[in-house]
Amino acid sequence: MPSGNLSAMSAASKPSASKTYAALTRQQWADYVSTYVPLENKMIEFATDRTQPAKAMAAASENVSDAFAMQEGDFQRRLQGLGTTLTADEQAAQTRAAGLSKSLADVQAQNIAGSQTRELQYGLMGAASPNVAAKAAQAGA
Amino acid sequence: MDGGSVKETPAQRALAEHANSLMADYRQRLLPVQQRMIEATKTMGLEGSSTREAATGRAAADVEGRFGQAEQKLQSGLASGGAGVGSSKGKLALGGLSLDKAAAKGQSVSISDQAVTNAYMQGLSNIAALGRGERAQVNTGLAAQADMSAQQAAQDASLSLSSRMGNAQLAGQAVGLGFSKAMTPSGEAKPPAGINGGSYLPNSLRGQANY
Repeated sequence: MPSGNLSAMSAASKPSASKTYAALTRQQWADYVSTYVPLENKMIEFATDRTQPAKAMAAASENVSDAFAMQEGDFQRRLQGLGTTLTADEQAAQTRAAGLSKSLADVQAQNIAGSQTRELQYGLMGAASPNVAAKAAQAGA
Repeated sequence: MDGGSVKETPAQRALAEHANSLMADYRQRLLPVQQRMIEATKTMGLEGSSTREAATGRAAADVEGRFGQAEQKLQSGLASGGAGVGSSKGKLALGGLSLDKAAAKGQSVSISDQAVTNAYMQGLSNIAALGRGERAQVNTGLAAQADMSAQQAAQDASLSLSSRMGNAQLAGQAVGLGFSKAMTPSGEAKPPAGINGGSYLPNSLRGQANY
């Protein structure tokens, strides 16, 4: 209910209290629908979107890849600054270590991002996220 | 009751006018602030937003700072142990530190990005809580004081909510007192307010012939 109607009604025709309350109720509902319902819908959309954890995991993986890509060049420049370079054997060892380290970081970052996103989704729906890892550990103990 | 046999008292009219003034004040002063807060929160949550950039930049800088100190300590340790940074041991140690830094940075940036998402959702949740308060007020505060025409508004509201949300719990909250007042003791909903303060029923609804 537009506010203009309400003001006009108050000034001109001295409406009854009941009509004023009714108009206020409608106006408040209209405010709620226009202002807050879109936000609630956005939250519902996020909470029920099954692709959100995968999106967060992909973003985390990309972050790790970017960090390792930057670090590789950074490390080479650092060595040059110190006046040294890697021999072929050292380079091979560094490459192996980098591969292992990146894989581990990638998996860990994805796991964290996935579980945090799922927890957030459950939290928005008002439920605690099922702690599968703890239950598995209990079962194995 | 409007149009009915019971006249409203001056106090009832004064209360209604006061409620009207409160609403006008809310719409003029507070609603714009809430809308700005909503916009700011929504902007924060966007992909690549300045908040996200700042958070990830801060995370990366923190990692750089911490590992910078670690590298200095490593070089000191290598030198005191008799191995220079140019030795194989020194280079591989620096290489290992560099890899640890990359892993830390990747995870730190991811976690900070996730933290912004969490804050964004928390912000939406806080704002939505304000809305739920308003919605509850629609159904319990004003509707409780209004007559049948206000109850009709509450019924419209709750029906609209039910169809939009399809959620029994939310619908239950929204219906609130306004709807419960409209319920008969037998649990059947009264028809919408009509003339005579809602007590009038067409004969067709009372199971009688119209004549």
